[in-house]
Amino acid sequence: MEEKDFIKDLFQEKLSNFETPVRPEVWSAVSSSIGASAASTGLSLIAKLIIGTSLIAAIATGIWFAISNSENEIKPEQETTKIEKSSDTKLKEESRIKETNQPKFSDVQIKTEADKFILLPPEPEFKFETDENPFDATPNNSISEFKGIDSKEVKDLIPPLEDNTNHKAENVISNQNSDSKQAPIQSEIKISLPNVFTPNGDGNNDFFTIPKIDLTDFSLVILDEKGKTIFTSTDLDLNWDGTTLNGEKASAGNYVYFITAKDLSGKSFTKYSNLIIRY
Amino acid sequence: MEDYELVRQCIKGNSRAQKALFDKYAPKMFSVCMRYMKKTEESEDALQDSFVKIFSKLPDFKYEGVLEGWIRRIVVNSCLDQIRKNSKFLNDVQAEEVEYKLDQNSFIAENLMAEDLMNLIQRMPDGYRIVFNMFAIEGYSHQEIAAQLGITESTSKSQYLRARAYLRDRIEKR
Repeated sequence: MEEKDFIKDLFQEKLSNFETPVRPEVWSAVSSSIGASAASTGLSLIAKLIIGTSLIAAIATGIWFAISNSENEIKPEQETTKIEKSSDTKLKEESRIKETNQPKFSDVQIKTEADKFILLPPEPEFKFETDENPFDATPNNSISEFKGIDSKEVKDLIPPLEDNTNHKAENVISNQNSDSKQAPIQSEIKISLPNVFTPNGDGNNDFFTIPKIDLTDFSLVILDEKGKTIFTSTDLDLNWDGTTLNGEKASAGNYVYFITAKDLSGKSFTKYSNLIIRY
Repeated sequence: MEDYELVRQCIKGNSRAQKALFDKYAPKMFSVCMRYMKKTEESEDALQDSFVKIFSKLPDFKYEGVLEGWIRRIVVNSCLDQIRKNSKFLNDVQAEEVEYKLDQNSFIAENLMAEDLMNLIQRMPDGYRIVFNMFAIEGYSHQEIAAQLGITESTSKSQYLRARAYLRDRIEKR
């Protein structure tokens, strides 16, 4: 035990937080994969590195504007939340002052802000008036003030997952959602398919079998990595020892197999799994 | 920026926050990849896959645990996927066949540096290395490892014990 702790502790202590520098190219690749908005950051990074030519300075300026715009878009919501939830009357007064300073704002903005308020529980209409303007007036000042006062409170008060973030999320990760949608369909027929076996004759996991459940019209096809059929069967009680259709032992590697069958209700289904053969 | 805020901003598509999140965790996670993948190139691929996944799954992060732990799991899973894809795990090499030697000067038993340990791990045969990484450093249970790798729990245990003996041997020899 002592030794176990020694080795485990040693490696855990030294390596669990060990850092290795990452080449900037990796971020570029990641950012281009996750969308155009992120890619622009990659650009600004490069721009920073090659500062010197006026052309690039111009690009950098463009990006700066783009970023500060997007910042402004984000900041108002933080403020909204803050003001909305804060009981600090001082803050409200401040926002009123700003309102009087610059009482001009566009209809579109009111609308979007109003939408947001619907999501926030306490007294939306009452505070509506005080909230609209700080964003329009001087977002930069107000955000720093609010942050300085109690950004922690903002953090505590923001609900972990708002409805609108969820919607966004769904758009972004439609791929994954399609995965998760498939899951329940597959689980209608509960069968856990083996994904590895070792036909080496050691008495341990030497045969590939299908779990015993009531199925009819069963058929099985095993394909190798090149998509070539190496084995088929219609026997539900099969005990495959790894011998392929041409009589040779299947070599170690990755395979995939498909099962088609009908369950007791007569509903047919197809399932597949990867299969790893090891010796 | 705090993780919480960082996550929020990343979900909104704030590219600076995404970069910040990457910068904050990528170096640590790159080490994780290096431990599993051995080769720098493969590690970079795994890291890249991981972060693409992380950003797309971020809206699902439920704040139930530490962000780093969540990220780390995704990274480990990406590494395992990659290893399966390369089918390296299958062509496992027995420890006895592997030539290993540590640079004599780089390594003093009392003062084992993280780099040396990384080296040691990277020289381990794949089967040992993966199980050892998962159990000793990432803290997976043998049960989880067995499920992830499609091996039995006892295989996982014996692989770990062998990996540990292997490492102890290398360390004590010095």
